[in-house]
Amino acid sequence: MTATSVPEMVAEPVVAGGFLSFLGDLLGWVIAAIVGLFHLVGLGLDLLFRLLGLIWWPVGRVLGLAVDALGWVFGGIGSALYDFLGAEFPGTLPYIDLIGFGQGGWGDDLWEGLQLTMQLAVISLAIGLAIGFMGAGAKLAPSKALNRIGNLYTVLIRGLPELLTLLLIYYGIQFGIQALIEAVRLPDLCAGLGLPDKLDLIDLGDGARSFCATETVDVSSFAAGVVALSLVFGAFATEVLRGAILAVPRGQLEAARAIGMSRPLVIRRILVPQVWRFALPGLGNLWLNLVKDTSLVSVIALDELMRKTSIAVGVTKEPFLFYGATCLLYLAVTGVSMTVFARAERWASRGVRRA
Amino acid sequence: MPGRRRVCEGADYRRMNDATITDDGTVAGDATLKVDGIHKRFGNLEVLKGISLSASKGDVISLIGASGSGKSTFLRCINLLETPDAGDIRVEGELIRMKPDRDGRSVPADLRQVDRIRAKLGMVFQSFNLWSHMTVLQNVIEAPVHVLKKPKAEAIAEAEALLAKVGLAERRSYYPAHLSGGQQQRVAIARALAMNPAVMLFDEPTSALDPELVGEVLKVMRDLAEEGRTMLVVTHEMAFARDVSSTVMFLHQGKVEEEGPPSQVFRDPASERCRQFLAKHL
Repeated sequence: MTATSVPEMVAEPVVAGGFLSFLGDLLGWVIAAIVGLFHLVGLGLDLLFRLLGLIWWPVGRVLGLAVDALGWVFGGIGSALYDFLGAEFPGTLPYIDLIGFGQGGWGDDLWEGLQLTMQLAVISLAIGLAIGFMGAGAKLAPSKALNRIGNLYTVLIRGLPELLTLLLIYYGIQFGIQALIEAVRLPDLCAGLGLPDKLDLIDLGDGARSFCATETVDVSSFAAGVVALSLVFGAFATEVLRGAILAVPRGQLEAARAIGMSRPLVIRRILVPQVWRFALPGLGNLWLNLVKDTSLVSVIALDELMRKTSIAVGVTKEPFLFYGATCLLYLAVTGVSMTVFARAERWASRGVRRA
Repeated sequence: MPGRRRVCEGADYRRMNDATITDDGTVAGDATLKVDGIHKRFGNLEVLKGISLSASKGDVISLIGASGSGKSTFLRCINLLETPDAGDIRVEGELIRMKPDRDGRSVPADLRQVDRIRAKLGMVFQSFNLWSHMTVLQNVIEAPVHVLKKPKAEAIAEAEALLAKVGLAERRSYYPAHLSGGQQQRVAIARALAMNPAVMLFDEPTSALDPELVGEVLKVMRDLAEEGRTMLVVTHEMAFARDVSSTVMFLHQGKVEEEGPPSQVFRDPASERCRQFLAKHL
């Protein structure tokens, strides 16, 4: 594929004025997105098979061949489409080059952004879910002190805009660590403990070669994003899970106690399996919010999908093309999520008569 | 030491029991269930004012009385779903040890002992309380597998026999929501039986059922009584109490007002209140 760095409208014979050329552009964007998706499918399969290969190498070997073949097929389809478009709609080619994976194309940047977005979302989901179970436990515990802690947490986090939470955490962590370093007078502390001057515990980046000489701290925007999104997800999940726990019929728990099951066994065998039934619809919504909230982390310079898109827009001056492509990527993720959640809900409500 | 203490208690208990001589002059064995002086209050309301009961193996004791007389609360005190404020409970001679908590209320001293004793007391609830995320078979094998640690194959074989006994063998892979109330209650009985309990406790097992479904549940209970199960039944089914039980207890305002074999209680009650109650319900 030939690459053009800046799209140029090929001078078309003016036949039907602006509308037709707009249609042509639109078609170009759609086809470009499809070609891009073919590449994404190929890359996704490649990633998956590599992961599988880590577990058992013949899988990687065999599937590696498969992915090559698939790549060849998809590449072939892509090329054929490209040639077809080049012949029929020459005006679309620059867009395809822009969104493609070739040189000058932004496809690989968007793909990297998407990967980061998904890592952020999945890690925050796992941590947030754990926080949610603890929060629900705290709110339902007999202890008044635990109730208060749980309430304070959910009131605070649910009452703030997510963006503000993120910024508070990002700068708060930075400020906090800085203050801590100054408070303990790190060099003195190190000297007091007899630590060598050149102790390298972690790679602290340029300018801070030694742990004991640390003066300024840069907080990773990925870590700050994970903390903020987990806290937000956790606060809302606390409420969802609390409601779900209360929705499990008390009589069923009583029957389990009456037959001699210990408290942990009741929780594991009777309570939690039914909590999913009541919690999954709510948690599905929260997951969609989480996926979308990852875009907020772009403001603290994490190169996730939204920020990569903005950069592409800034460089190419093609906002609709890239925002459109990113829109499709988010929709692909959220669409797949909704399907998965619908299946999970069906599994969790097994044995329940549906209206 | 705890082991030795338990032996002592058992010995004490046996000595006490040996003194109980039955009508035909033979010495009664260990009472399967012996409850002494149960008190229970909810706030200012004293619900149970010292109820005692003794059930030997094979006894079927019916508890009757108006709503609010405390019969369900009493049943729930026996397996500690409600914690009695005072009183002793012995199951197969083993005393449930209690201790006062910080506020002076009585609480179980050893939760594991409570779990162990509950496993010997099969409870059947008014509202069935089957676990709705499990099939019929899973409901029945759940406790044998996870509490008694039985091998799954063995538990399944026993569960199938029990389900056949309550007439639901072909419903083993149904979920509770797809069964009628009578069927659900029969599964609940099978679930309790799967633990091979020393005593079966029934808490108004037919009160939540449509009238035409009551019979199938009562039939299962009659069969159990006939094969010598020790049973404690809180019920409004006077015909069942009269025909099946060995002893009938009439509770009124938290006390045992009348107690005796059904022939006596139903034909010639000493208490005026019992007479009135029976007149209304027969």
